[in-house]
Amino acid sequence: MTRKSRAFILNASEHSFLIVIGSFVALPFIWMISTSLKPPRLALAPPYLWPSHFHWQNFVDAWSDAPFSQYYINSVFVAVFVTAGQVITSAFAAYAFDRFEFPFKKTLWYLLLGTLMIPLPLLVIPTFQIVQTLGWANTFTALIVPRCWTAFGILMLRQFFKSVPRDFDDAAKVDGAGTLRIVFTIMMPLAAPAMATLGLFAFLFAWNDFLWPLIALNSPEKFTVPLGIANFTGKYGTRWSLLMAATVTATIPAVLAFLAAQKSLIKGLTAGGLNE
Amino acid sequence: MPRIKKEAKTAYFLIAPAFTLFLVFSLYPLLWSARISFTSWDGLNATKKFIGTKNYSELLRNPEFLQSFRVTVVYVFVVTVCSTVIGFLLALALSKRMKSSAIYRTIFFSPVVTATVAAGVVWQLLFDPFSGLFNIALRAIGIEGPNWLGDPKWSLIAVSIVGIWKRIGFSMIIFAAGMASLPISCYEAAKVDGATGIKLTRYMTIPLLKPVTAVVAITGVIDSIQVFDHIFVMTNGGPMGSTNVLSMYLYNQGFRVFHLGMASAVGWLLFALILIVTAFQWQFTKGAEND
Repeated sequence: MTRKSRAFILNASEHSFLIVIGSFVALPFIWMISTSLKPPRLALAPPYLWPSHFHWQNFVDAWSDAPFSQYYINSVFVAVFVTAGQVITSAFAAYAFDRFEFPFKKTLWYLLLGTLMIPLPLLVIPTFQIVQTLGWANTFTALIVPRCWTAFGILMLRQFFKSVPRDFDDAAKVDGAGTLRIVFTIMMPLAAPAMATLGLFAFLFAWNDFLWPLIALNSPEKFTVPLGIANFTGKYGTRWSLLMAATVTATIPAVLAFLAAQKSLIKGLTAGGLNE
Repeated sequence: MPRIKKEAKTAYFLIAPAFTLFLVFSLYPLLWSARISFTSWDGLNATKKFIGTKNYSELLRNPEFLQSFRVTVVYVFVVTVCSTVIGFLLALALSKRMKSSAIYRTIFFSPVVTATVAAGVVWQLLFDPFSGLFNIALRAIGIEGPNWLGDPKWSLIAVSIVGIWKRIGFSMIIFAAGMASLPISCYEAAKVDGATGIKLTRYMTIPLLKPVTAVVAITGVIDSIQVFDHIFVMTNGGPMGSTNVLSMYLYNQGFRVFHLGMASAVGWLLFALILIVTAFQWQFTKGAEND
């Protein structure tokens, strides 16, 4: 075989690999959207991709059969506070670990890193007991407060803070700025892509979280979107058009958030991931 | 000296919020659950009766737990290996294609940001034995597809496919970053020596990416060993325990039959498993680097 034809075969096989895996990954999204727009009876009929007319009624029905707008409000509420909490506590801690020397620094750092290996299912049992003792059972506080810190965030931000020259801090100090002001007005803006990444991660994590809300909440009016979906599945197990309409609405905010911050997300993820 | 003292004070003040939450919601629960794992506590009784290692010894003899353990090991192995290999190949294929890579990257990464519960519902539809897309496609070529989620022979494969689908994008991104940071000079030298295509990958890229592969594999294990969400909606651990992974087992012990002591023991075995696998993988990659 000549070099040219070998290169051609390699190139063609790479292309087909990308297309096969790409279709496999995209298929559930395409099918979800397509089914959500089909009239309920035709959802199970011989398959076709493009609905002959768009049956938007599914969305109306799904949203009126289950209080999805309420789930949405709950999810947004929880996710916003978790995001703010994680960003602030991580920025503070990352700044301390990067810029200061203090007793037990190494010990504390390794303790934090160690938590990355603790399985969440192990923590939900005792956390539920703690939350009950604190009187937070079945409240949003239970979903928010325990989630307001993240070892991953501290780790990632520390990597980014390293690249901010210390001259900036010193100049600010000469101007009389306190530590908090330096963190808020110098470090956080300079590490904006990292902050965006962490914020998006925190938001996605809170938005998609399932096991902890499943245990911590019991009144349906407090359900977050994933709980609402799981509940809806139990009730409408075979009404696929409605189910898909519901899942489309659950998926879209996360995917939009991802598309908006894609670049910085991938950048931050790789910086954090490779330095673990 | 006073300056250092003041510095430490500021540092502790900055760490305090994250660290307090860490103590209350990670370290304390961890130790508390270790203690509970040696009791027969049901979550209601005020007294937590100490029963030594009985929970652990009972678990290790319980066929249901052993099945759960086996199921988890298979799931973790299949998902980690497949998503790592596919992620690597995708990153490799995309590394030469600047124009089309952005759209591909978006597609491959979308499952990572999608709620696993919602994805599980969609996959349930795709796997439906009668109206699911897979079996319709198989029927078109004359094969009667299996009852994916209802047949113990196929259910673990089905939920593993979802796990792989969810993870490919993450592995791809980490590999892509690793490839981008490889020294170009090595490649130039190898090319001068006449190395091309597959040889370059085999003898240059793969050995150089060992540390990155370790990160992808370790996070893969830590992640997939805790799998819960999509299994909860798709099979709920069934049929006949064929997808009853350790997290499902723990959830049922802790929140359905209220054996909190037993559930904590399951959690600690899960933790021990993560520590062992992580230590083993680091050792393995370290050894490989020293070769």
